[in-house]
Amino acid sequence: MTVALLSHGPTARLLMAVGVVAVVTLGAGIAVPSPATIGVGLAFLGGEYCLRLVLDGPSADGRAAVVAAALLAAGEFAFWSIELRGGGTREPGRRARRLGSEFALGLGGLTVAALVLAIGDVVKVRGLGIELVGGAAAAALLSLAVRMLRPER
Amino acid sequence: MTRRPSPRLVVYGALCAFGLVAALAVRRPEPVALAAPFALVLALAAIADRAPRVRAWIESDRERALEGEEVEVILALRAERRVAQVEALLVVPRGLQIVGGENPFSVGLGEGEDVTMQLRLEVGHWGAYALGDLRLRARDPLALWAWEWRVSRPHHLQVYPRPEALRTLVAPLRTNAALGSAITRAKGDGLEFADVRAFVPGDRVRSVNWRASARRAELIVNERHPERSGDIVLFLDTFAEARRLRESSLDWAIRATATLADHYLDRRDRVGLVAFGGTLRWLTPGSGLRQRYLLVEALLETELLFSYAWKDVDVIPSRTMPPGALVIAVTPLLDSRAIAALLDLRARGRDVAVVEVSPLRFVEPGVEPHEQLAYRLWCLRRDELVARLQSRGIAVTRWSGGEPLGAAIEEVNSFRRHAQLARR
Repeated sequence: MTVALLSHGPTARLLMAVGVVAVVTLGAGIAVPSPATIGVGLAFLGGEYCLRLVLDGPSADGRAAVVAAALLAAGEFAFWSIELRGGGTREPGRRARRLGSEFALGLGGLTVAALVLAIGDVVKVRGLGIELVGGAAAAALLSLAVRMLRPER
Repeated sequence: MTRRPSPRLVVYGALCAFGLVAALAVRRPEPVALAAPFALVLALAAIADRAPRVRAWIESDRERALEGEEVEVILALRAERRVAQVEALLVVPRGLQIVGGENPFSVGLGEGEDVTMQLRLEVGHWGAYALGDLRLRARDPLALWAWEWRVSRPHHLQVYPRPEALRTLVAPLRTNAALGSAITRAKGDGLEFADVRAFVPGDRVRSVNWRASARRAELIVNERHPERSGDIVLFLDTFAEARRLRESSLDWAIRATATLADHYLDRRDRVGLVAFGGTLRWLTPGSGLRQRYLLVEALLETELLFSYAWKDVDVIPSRTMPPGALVIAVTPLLDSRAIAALLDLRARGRDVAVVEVSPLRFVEPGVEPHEQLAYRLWCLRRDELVARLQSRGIAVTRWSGGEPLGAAIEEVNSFRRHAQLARR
């Protein structure tokens, strides 16, 4: 929604609509609680930002790293709230440690996203080759994630 | 050990892929930048994917306890490798309740570090319990992975029923030669005064009743009842039970049997046990501490096994029921095989008394008239059965679990006194 507020003109209403859907989905995911719904909410938030990029023009956006870190923070806090609601045990100092870890993770995310943007800014290669490389990277990442996330005994 | 990814790891993997595909679709680097932090989390998860090495022990301060007492259990964890968070849950069997300590509890452990957690368990119900089922869950610092495993350190806890206070017990008609606390009907050396008679050569001087001798102008001596031990056989009917929720007539029967065994053993009587039901279990009469433990352990293992097979007293080994033993049956009088066995024992000249653990408290009379009629008929049949047993000279007392057992035992004594007078 912040992205929508930053926009002007006829695109603002569309972005606002996507933002509202994203926030409602995210809220529903936290309330139910449902990790998949949270994921959909985060995807909508990211999608809203991408939509703005597409609609507003070809100029590169330096704020993408901040948006990325904010998205990660939103996801982390949403999942943390679910974990806390799950009850479990109370260990003194655990929340403070977790908060520190989340902060470090946010900073790391910001750095990595900024690094990606910087690389994207420097390397101006276009064409089918780079798209194939990107597609292969996406597929490899997906397969790696699926293999890693499979429960093991 | 089971390794589970946290739900957010799965979601982040999907978001990451979504970002990369979106970047290809819109031909811009920003979606890749959006996906990059999530890819960083996945990379961290790959690094953190190391199974924890945690060892666990369980110790308890005792193996035997009385109902209502507290037992202390110590859980000890030791990490051979640093674990950001480990949660331990002791599975507490039904009948035990945690009154002190945290369960589950969570700690972070450094390499070689150990931690202990003291739990206090209150035993609410007698029985044999197996403690030691411990569930452990470890997580990495970002809680991206959870490793779950189960540790089994069997620790057996036997909880004995708390015996009720009894002021009197049913005295056996015949006693043994061995010393005990039961006052016999015979006359001899003892404490309880029985009668007076004329002095005969051989009588001890200290038996002379000087006051009576002075009145009668001849030597009169006191006679006394000697104290002897008796043989008691506790006959526990395990054919059938009446049950409502967690409470059953068999529970109360076992409680009553344990109480009787405890008090008779205190009186130095020899006590045996016959658990007569789907399976026949017995314990020959004996006395002392060992017999006490054997009896209670046999009672704790007593369970109801449904069986259609007809059983009579012939299946009971003869040495289990010595001649002259008092047979105290603790039964809900629900199964005809147990009733027939009691009548058979009486017909064979055994001294039998019945403590009927009333199943009435477990049965609702119903709401409909026909239900109430059926209930009344059933009660009448039970009354008729009790009258039939009493007509054979078997003392029957009705005991509802919540009442003091002493009142029921007093009723048996009263019946036996009455029956004795009638016999004279």
